[in-house]
Amino acid sequence: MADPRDPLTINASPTKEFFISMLVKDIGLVRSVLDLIDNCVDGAKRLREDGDFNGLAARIELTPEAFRIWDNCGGIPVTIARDYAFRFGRAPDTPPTKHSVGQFGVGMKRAFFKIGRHFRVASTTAGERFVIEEDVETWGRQEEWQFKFLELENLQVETPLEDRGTMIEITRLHESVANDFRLENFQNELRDAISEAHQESMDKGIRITLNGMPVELRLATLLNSEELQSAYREVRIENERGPHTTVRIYVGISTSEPMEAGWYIFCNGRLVLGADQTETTGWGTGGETTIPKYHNQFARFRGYAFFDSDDAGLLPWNTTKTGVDLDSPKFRAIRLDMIRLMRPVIDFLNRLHDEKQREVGDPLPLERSLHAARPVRLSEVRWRDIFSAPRAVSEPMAATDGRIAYNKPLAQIRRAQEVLGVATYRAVGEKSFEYFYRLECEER
Amino acid sequence: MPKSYERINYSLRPAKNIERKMLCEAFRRLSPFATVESYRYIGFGSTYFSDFELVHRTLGIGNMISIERDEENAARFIFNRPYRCITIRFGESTGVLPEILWNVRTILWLDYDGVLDATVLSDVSLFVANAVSGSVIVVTINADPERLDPERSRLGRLQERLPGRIPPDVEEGGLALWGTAALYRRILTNQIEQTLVDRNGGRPAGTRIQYHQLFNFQYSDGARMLTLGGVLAEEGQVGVVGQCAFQQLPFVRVGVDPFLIAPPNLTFREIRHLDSQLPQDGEPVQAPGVPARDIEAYSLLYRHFPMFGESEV
Repeated sequence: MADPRDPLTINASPTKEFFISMLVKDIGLVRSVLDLIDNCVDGAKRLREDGDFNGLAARIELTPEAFRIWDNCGGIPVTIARDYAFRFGRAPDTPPTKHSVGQFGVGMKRAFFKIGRHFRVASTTAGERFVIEEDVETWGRQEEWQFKFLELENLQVETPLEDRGTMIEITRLHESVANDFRLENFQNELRDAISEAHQESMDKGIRITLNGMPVELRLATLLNSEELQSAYREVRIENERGPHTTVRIYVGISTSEPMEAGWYIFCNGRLVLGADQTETTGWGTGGETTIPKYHNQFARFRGYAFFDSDDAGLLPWNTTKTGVDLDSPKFRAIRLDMIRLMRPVIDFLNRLHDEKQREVGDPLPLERSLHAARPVRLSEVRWRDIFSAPRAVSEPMAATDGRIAYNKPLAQIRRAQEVLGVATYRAVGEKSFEYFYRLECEER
Repeated sequence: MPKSYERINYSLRPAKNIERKMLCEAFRRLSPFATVESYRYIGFGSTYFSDFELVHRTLGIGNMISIERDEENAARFIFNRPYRCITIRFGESTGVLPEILWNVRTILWLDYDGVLDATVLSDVSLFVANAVSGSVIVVTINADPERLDPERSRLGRLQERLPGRIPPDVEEGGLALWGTAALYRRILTNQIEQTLVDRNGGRPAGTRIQYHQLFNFQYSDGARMLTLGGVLAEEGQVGVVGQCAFQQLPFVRVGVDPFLIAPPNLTFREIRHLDSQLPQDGEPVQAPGVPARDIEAYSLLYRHFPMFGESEV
């Protein structure tokens, strides 16, 4: 409020409208749900510092009437709820969660407002429990920036492990949200997004279900063999203030999937950019001389960069966790590494493409090396500074011999087989070519 | 019109020869970083390997990689390899450089025949992004101004070839003679600085990498050529760069002003006569009938001046 007594004072206080109606426009519905799962994951990280999440679960339920998410990840301590968890924006003195995925102090509240007009949060820790319930429209009209505990209790008996957790329920859904929740396609989209974004936490043991069905864990793999080896390196970035950041980079090839090819960037285990095929991750840099623009010829390319730090604030993500912060010096430094590491893979995929065009030899050596390779989980890829693959394209035979392949009606091929007196199609091709060459090309 | 004996000897390329020797003399001064023998040398040896011979003979470097794009004639390059310590890596530099491990102090000489284009910038970036402190980069490119064409301006063609790289204050009139070389120096330097900003993003103060320009040669053995280069060093090693005392070398140039290699054409007899009066000691250096500007040019180059003769080796 502008101070009426001081004409030099200008009002710069926030409005609730900004949080309820504006901020939600910057994020999609699917992403909002992922933000709520982030809270469960951070609970798991506080609860199990060793990273073993077995036995922990997050259950999501969507209906046209309500959204619910329940977890057994330890619950929110009352002091955290009272002073930090429900504030808009992270307070500088917030007790840190090591390696957390929640960072900005905006995801959970933004998700409430995105999804509906009424929310209820019930949380139980070992010794306390509380319930918060708010009607968003009523709260929006109030002057104060506060929520109220509806129930608050110190427990006499210690809560059993499996009952320590948080339940969030959002009702009075926005019409568009209710419509989406009705759609099977939306649920499928959400399911895919969860399995992609939270694969690291799921791999550590947390189970996530959506409307009763478990979300499938799909772990990234790269094709590897004796002669085909993915690159993997780890870079440690020191911070002058605060803990260091570790970046693990994996580059290699996988199945040919144009929709899945590209770079995947994770921050503290959470996917923030998936299957990226833009200049953000190096495609098309240097006027396409350093790295060409993405093209389906590179549909086998996969790159993964995992940024990890005890202090999530040091990681290069944006607040919606839908991309990287391109101005982050750390990301820009790592991007140079990514570009260098991807180049040999691009060269290999170009050679593979050339090989197919030229049809030299049979079977084709690079293609063969792919068939011999097996998918390997990233955690099993060994340290290797440079992607290595067979070269074998300009073998001497390429200079002297060529291969001709074509299709003809079967009836005609069989007739030619009879006339030539040969058993195979290949022999038909060779004999008929020799016949033509002798009559038309050979000088006597 | 210059007289015939003042014309340039195209086949022997004396300026290139001088440049090679000057570079090696500067490389020798890297020893405050590490013994020069422990460095790796990477270049484009072609079939002649002139730079490789000089670097191996005078500096004792034994870890050498020659990048050769002409894979079709691999046998010929391998046959012409003068020392067994040279590895030849076949392929375009843009593809080969990312396949090299950058954990060794390296002297990289990208000695291109062609003009400045995106490939050159890409190679430069790769090295600057990855080379360890104490490494040296040298880039040689053809810096002849674009051929005059009444239909299309030089500036327009450069903007096409190097989109987004031409600073707004560059004018058509400034591209003649050595103007294009000066522009190329600026573009290459911008590329190096930009890459370093990215690279240093993740590094704490003291370990950030800086580029110190050492070479800004211009010469013409026919076409106008630019050779630009310098040493990369961590902030904390500025003192080490100082200990190298590069600036004592008269041909080192740390800024915009180039060192012009313009060898005069002199007879053996004139050369011997001039040598006997050098290094200069107050007395004017003289040779009968030789123009003063040739004597001046020779005085700058005499220690590196080649003596070409007919011989069977």
